[in-house]
Amino acid sequence: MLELKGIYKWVNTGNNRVFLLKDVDLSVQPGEFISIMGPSGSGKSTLLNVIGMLDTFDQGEYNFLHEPVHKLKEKQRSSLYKQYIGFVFQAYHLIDELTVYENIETPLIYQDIKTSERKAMVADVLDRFQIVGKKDLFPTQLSGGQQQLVGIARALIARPKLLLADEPTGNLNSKQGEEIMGLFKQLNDEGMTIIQVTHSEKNAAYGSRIINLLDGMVAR
Amino acid sequence: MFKSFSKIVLRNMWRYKGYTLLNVVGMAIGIAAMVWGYQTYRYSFSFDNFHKDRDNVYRGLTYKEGADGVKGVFPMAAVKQAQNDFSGIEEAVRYLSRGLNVKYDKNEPFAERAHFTDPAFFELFNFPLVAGSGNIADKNVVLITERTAKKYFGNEDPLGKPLIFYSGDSYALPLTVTGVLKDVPVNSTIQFDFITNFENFLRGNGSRVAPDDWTLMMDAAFFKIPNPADAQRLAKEFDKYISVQQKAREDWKAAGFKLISLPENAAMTNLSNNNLGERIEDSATYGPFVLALLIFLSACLNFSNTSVSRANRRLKEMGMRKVMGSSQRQLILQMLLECGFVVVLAVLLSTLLNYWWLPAFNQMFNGVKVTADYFNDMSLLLFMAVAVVITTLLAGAYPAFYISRFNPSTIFRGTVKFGGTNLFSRIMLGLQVSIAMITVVAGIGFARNAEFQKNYDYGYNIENTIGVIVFDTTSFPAFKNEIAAIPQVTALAGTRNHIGYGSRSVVAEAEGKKGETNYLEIGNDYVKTMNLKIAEGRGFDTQMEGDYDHSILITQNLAANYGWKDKEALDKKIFIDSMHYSVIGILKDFHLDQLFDPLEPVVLKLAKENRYQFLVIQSKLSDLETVYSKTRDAWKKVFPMKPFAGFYQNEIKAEAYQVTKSIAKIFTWFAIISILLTATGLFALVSLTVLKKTKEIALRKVVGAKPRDILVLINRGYFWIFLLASAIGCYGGYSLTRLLLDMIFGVNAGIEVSTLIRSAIVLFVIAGITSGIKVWQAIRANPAKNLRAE
Repeated sequence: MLELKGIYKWVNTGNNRVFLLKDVDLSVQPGEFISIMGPSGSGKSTLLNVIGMLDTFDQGEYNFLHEPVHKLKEKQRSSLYKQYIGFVFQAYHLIDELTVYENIETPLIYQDIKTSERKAMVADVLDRFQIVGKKDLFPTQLSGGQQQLVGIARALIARPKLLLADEPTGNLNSKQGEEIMGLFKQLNDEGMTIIQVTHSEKNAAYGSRIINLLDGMVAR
Repeated sequence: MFKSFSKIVLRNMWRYKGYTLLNVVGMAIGIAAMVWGYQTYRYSFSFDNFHKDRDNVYRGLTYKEGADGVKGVFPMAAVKQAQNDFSGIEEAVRYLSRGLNVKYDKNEPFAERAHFTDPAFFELFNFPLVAGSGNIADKNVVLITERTAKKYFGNEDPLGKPLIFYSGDSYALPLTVTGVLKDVPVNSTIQFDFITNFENFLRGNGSRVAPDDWTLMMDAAFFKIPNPADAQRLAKEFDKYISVQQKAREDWKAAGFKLISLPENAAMTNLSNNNLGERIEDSATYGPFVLALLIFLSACLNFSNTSVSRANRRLKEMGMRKVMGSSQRQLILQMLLECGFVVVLAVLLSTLLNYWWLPAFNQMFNGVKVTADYFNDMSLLLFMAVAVVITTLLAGAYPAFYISRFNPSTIFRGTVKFGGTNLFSRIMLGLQVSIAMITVVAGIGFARNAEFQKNYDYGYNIENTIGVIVFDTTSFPAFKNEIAAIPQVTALAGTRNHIGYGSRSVVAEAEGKKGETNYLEIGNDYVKTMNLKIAEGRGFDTQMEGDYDHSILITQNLAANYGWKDKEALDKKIFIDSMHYSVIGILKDFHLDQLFDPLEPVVLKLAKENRYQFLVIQSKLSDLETVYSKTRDAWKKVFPMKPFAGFYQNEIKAEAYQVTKSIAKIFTWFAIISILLTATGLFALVSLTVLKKTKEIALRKVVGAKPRDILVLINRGYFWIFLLASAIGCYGGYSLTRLLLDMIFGVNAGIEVSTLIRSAIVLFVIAGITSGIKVWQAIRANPAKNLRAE
């Protein structure tokens, strides 16, 4: 599905070059459920952002669905991730001014999907996540677990091929966390490719593969 | 997408109601001011635009020998002769006015100005008829305006009603009202209430005017010239009349002629010897627009600055939208749309503001009628539409680009180097400060000028003088005796011309220098009564027969024109109107007119009693009202048929004072608004600085920083920009106010350093309080709490 080859990312501070990612190779097959682990500052989120094309890298090659991402222009990149990638964040990042329904609907708006079709798709997802009753509430009226559920629903609404999750359970209590991870497992079983960043061994255990990062390098 | 955006916009606006209100109101004021400026400008250039044939109608002007510039008058005989003598003139119309008393039936008479013209007048100009017939070929008819009809006949039908026009015993003319015209628009240079056939014009002595009379000057002469190319040729050909005119008027020699089209005439200001109206002056035409632009800019800057400084509230949303596939273009569009919403609301509110403001503005000044017809005026609607777009871009573009450019990964990482106090926003704040400074300087400057004009020494007795216009020279002695019998009267004098009530302009020549000067014919007690001060020489003496014919008094101002010091001027000869006069006295300068005009040179000549037209009366200030009413009673007794035309001399002060006060008021309002806008902008930026430095402030406090240090820390970024902007604003305010003062007032207070200092203090105090509130909060905050929060 995607392949990273010799990825470097660095920042220059004074005369020193600090490497955020260093010679990272990674290949992901469709249907995998990968957990990226490592201590704070090891580059987990950076790697996830690079995979999600939210961040650029300084050196190396990145092929996503046979497209050479490193050669694409900003616009093509954004249309690529718009179409194939869904994001879930630790802090949910729902838009406070929009209701649950509208939050979930927003990605579809950016993909120019017709209103009637949007309605059907959102209704589907609401149904599936059992949050129909909450659709007119605003994010601040929901619990953390519920907000993350909406966040996942929003990430999945456009039917991406890849789901990226940055510590999806980081702000949740253990029961809510387990529910979310159960949901991820179920999605993976249905064929969704998932890459998550996590601190928790327990969460990592839900995945099929673990990648350990240390100082921007994949620990072998 | 639009619907989703709109929802967000509305919810955001609602959520931050106070902020929205502030921006909407600020911008509404800015836009209302722009509409005011635009409409005032258009009003000024709308004069006479309602005449269909305006491009083919020309007005004749005359160059006067020895005088500067062209004059508004035109010799009567030339008008009709030119039509016969030269080709290319389809119609020639004479237009003249005089003061008359008008009476209907047994009602009170009114002193009025009647206009006399040729029947073709109504072919050249578009003054629509409301009732009756518009033909004045019949010498027994008069046309009146709706307003006049109401004044004389109330709700009765005016058609067929007789009106008597009279002046003393020399003139009495019964005319029948056969037509009622729509009121003449304010933006017309041609203004009249009564209009009748030219043949009905009689001179002051009651004599008719011969068609070939070269002495009489028209208020205006109009020619219909179908081919505009002919106009210049015709003006040259008119030169043929110079010699015959000069022979007839040795005192007013024509030196050439000029033809200007009606639009050119409408665009002119400050034409001398002009008895038609004029468009509003340049200061009033462009001033409002400049002022409006300043306020408008300040409102836009305020929106920009507060939007940017509040951007952190929007960052997460922007980042998330990008993650969900929004392009930066879409985000910019969304932000602009948000700004557009505010602007549209502001535009709606601005119409309400102008609903109040435009009439209030019109009330302040004579001859101004600025309106805004938002429903039918296409140009105005177009202006508003353009204003919406430009305002949206001006106010919204910077925040839109600024907020939408961040990379979502940096936003979520929380490492956005957040601006708000970057150079650009500081420059914007600086601009606001400069603008506020300009308005404050102008406000204080004009207020001081009002004070100055109130206390201005006109150089004569302006406060305790009453004047009465007595057109009827025959009954003058009787009236004068009645007044002399009033015990409270301390002095009185008859005169032909009177300070502030019109003087002749003549060309005076001495020492080989020719120049225009004002010419007053006065009574023998006039100098004493008006308290004009003799600097050198003597006043008029009726015992000396020569004083009537050969003696003049001149002002120091005129003497200076010829390079004479007071004493040197005595017995000097001055050549006026083909006569030599010798100077018997030098008067200290006095102000002949309102303060709109500069101090001008004056020549005074003694006139015999049979030429007197004014009686000026003096009393103690406390008796003035009593004397006024007694004078009126005396008038009723002597002239039972004539309306009383008395006035307080200090009415002369009123208009200029009123204008200054009004301008001061306008500037004061705008100063308040721009200060409020600036204060909000400043508050937003200071708040942001405090927010950004919360941790630093807390740490510094922990290590022992004093409140003063914190104050310096927070304000460091603003102090210099504020100082620089104030200096620029001071200079701008000084220049603008000086320019306006000089444009409007021939005599004004100028701008003093103390005005600038006061303005700076006002602004600094307000800025100090604004940032002080926030700084105080920061100083008072518990450092431990803030550090924990980090």
